[in-house]
Amino acid sequence: MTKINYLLAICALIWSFSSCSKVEYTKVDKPAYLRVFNDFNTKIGVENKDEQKPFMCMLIDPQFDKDGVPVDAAIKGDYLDQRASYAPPYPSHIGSSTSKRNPEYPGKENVPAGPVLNGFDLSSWAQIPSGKHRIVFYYRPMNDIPFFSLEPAIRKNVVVDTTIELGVEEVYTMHVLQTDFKTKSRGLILRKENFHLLPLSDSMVYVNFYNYSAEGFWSADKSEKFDNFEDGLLRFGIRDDINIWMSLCKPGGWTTIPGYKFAYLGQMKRSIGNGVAPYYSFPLFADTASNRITTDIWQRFSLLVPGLDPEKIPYGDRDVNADGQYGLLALYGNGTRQSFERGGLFLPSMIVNIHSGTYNPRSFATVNTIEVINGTAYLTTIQRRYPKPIY
Amino acid sequence: MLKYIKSGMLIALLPAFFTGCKHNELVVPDARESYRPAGDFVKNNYDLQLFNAALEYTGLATELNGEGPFTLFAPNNNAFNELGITRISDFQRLNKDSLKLAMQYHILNRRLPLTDMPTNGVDVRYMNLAGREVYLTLASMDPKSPGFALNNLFVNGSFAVKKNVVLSNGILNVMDKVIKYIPGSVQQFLAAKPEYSVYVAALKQSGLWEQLSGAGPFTIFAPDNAALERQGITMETLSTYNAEKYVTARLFGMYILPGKNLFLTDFIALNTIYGTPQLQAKIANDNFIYRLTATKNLSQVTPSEFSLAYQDPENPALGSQGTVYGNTSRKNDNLTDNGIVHYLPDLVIKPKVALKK
Repeated sequence: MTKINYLLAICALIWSFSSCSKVEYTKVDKPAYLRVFNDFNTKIGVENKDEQKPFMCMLIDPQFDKDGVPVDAAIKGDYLDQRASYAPPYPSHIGSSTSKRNPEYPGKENVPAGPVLNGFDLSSWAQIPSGKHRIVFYYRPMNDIPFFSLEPAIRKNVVVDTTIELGVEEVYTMHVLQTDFKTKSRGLILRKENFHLLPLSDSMVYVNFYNYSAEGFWSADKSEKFDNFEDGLLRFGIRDDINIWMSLCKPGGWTTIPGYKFAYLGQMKRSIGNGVAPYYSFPLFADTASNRITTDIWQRFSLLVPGLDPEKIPYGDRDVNADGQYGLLALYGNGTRQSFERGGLFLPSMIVNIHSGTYNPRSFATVNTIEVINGTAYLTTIQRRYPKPIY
Repeated sequence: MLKYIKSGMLIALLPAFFTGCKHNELVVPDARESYRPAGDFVKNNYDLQLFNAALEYTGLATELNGEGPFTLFAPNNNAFNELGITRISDFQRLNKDSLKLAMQYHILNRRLPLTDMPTNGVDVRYMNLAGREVYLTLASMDPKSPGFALNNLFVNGSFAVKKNVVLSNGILNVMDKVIKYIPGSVQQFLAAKPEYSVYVAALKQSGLWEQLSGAGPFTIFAPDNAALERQGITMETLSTYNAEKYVTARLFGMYILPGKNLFLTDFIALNTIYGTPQLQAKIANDNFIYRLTATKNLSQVTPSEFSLAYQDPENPALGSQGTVYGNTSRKNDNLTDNGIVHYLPDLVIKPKVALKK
């Protein structure tokens, strides 16, 4: 019996040595948090077929060979495609996608993600060492070849080349976009977010608005723009100064919640700048008939030039071309188009409904950003942590 | 007892030593052995008979059996027939050097399988053996339904009827048209063709000629002498042409599209990629609008057919007027150093429409 004990002891000893391996966790010292979007969405057609397609590779602190061709970089965000209309609160692209195309950075990239900062889930942000960085965006062909394996000749096509400075534990959203529709000039926006520093309540839904359209887009001839019915009234662009009116409606139609019919929120000015827009809010349970666990209201934003009264709009909601004076956003359910709102651009609702605790679903308030860019609008949702579901 | 059984088992094992010793020569088939080099592959395909004859006549066939790598855009027999070449002996009548250059134009000095071509790339340039660039367009899929691959490949206005054939030293694609590259400018191209002599004279007379030697690119739909004669424009009537009476930029200038290099197949590819099958723009130095589009039946491999029309800005309700269709494949998609020339069988804007008001 003692022999067996000895044998077991030796086995245990060997096992304890052999199974030891040191895991090197990737750690970023003094990180900044960065999320990058490719906002190019203008039309390419027969007229401008030779124009570069907005499919990019982002390099942070690139290294070059003697010919000026990038050969390596500290951080690489490859296959950066045009952004999707909805930027979800966590990188849900990873689970369901088989394509290499990345609708945002980090998106599908396997990088250290941001933590929960002041209650906000930053898992859609990448950790980047803070400090000064050179950042270069390159055009790349639409294939599956990694950027540094491409031929040197096609690795030189720069979109934007600039230097940025990132602060420690600051949250940044970066946009690479067209700044002028006529000259086709390109630029970069680095927005230092402040939602995690504001005293935002978790029973209110917050939203702010930006208009990052290229200069001269709305006034350009409509033959130069995409005629996409899914963008509704907004498809040919919106003017530079716009009033925002919000309505909260019951699902399936325009029955508004009392007190929330064309509520005036504020102004949106077209500006390609790094400033942060103010947040507007409404209560999560604005619908007093709800059970205060879940609510199914949808949000309707009328974007109108100053002087137009939302009650007396000269354009119909099914109009195709409102001369840039009227745009309509419908944030409904999961963003599926509804037939009753033809002129609306559909995006997912800002209220997150999900199984949490014993409730399925339970509604949660979020912090949102709506960016109007040329003929379309994009929604970014940031959520807090919520209790795990109990089955 | 155990002893007997043991020895019995050993004896039973004995034959195994002898039978297991047979040694067959086993040869694993080499997957690459069945692939032939480009020259041999072309030679052994009936549909590439004329292309092979051209390669042998110009001495390129041996080069194509070499190391490579090559990517071939091989025109099939139909493509040569279109140009009036139906027999192998027909090549003897051609200039060997210019034929060699033309054939080298169909061959890239690299291995370019379909998977390496940029998805939905339009007129992506690749260097060929002639030291020039081919314009490769791959309409991979409709971006709205990326799961449904089309992979229609076009090179300089020709369509790949067979793609991505693996060779031991490269890749072969079979094209439905011979790529026509003519060194020189569009001006030189038009001047060298007697069938366009009246149009050339008209351009010279109206001051539109000089620009055609410039950088370009230009896309030109050139009406031939017969087309102009049908509208009463000949060398004789041109001498009495009154520039005060007509809007020249409209009558003769509308067929010059400055800043555009358009193969007819670009429209087919762009329709898939961006859903924009039509080009609509103002005629240079005029207020009239031209509309241009092209189609091609890719399953029956018919020639590309374009339609060119105009729109009167004062009467937009009338829509496209004076539409002219053209599908004379052998005369279209002529690439020069500063543009592309297509053949227009009739005038879009008749002289009476171009009258000054």
